Amino acid sequence: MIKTLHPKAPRDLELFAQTENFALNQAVTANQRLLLKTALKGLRSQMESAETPLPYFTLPLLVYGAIAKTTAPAEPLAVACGLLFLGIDIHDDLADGDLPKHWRGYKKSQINLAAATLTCSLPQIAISKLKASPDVTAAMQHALAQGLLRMSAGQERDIAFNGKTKIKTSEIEESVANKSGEELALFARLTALLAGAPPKTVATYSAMARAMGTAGQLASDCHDIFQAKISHDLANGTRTLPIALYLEKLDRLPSPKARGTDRQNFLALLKKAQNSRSTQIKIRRLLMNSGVLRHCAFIVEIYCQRALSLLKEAQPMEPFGNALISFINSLSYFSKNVKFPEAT
Amino acid sequence: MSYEAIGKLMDRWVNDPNFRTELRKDPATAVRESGAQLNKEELAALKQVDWNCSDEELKTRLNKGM
Repeated sequence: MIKTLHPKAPRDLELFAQTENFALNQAVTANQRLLLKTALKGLRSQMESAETPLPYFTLPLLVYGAIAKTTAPAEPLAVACGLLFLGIDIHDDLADGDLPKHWRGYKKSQINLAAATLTCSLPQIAISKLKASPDVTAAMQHALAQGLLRMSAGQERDIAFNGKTKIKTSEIEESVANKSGEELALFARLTALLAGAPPKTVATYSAMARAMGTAGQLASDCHDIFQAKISHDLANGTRTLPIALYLEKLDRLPSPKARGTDRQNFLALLKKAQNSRSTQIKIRRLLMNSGVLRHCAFIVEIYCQRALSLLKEAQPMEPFGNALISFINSLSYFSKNVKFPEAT
Repeated sequence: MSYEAIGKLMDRWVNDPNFRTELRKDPATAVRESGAQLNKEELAALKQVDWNCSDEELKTRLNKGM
């Protein structure tokens, strides 16, 4: 069971095979099958490059185990979550204009169809095939529809931030929580419903996963700006946490003149960075020297602590509780000594 | 989240060497004496952050997230 905590573990490969079989068996034409086969290359490559446990497979198994002390009934749900993750990822790539190589030669309309099928057809079929009572199945389908609605609103808000000159950290975090946070919250909510958990437990695991998803996405946004060879976010004019923190930092400068000039200069740099790698490096240095990286790490840690605190509240069964702690720790920059926060 | 309080703390971390030393020694006391009001999760995170590691070292700990 704990094997799933490691990307590319045998259990993950097995679940990928189940996901692939399920998706390809549902296809109603040869062309649809080909489209889904191509889309699944994206999931395979995400699995291969993952540096943290795969949330779509790992979270359903661990949350189910934490509630019911067994994982097998959650495997078909992990398949549904894998398909959802893939569909949402393709929608995201389409929105960012950032499609991976395996889509070369396909029209955008075809890719859109693949994403729609993966998000709006296959997970619903997978849920309808689960061994669950009609009431539980209905509650899961409702949770899925509601989760997708919230994520769609989060994505819409995210797109609206592009190129904005005034942006608050709180708005960025809210948008990340409503998109990536909601995605993991949905995986956990579906799992807890399948496990027959009472509403309070469903809500607690959902909130825990929301904090995990938010921490993971904020960490990913920091990686893009501070570590990636080319920052896709800077190239696309996407406003992420490090940019919002720096803009707010400029707003706290004591001199109104400096506030105005430094802000204008930084916005000009952001514009130039869309087409200049050397300007991207300049921005990276500027952010590093002003303490933005540490500030980001602190914020990511707050979400990790929130997830740990909610996990404690959920009273998970072992060894799944400890495995969930390890999963949360994998998102932290300071995971060596992470423990449950003290209750006050 | 206490956005403004955390923002001001981080500004002090960058600009005030004495505060950096105090934070490295005893984060909870340093923050309490600064007057910043943090909630339970923020205080737990404050204690968890390694204030001794350099920004360059911090950069090496970045992962791609999920």
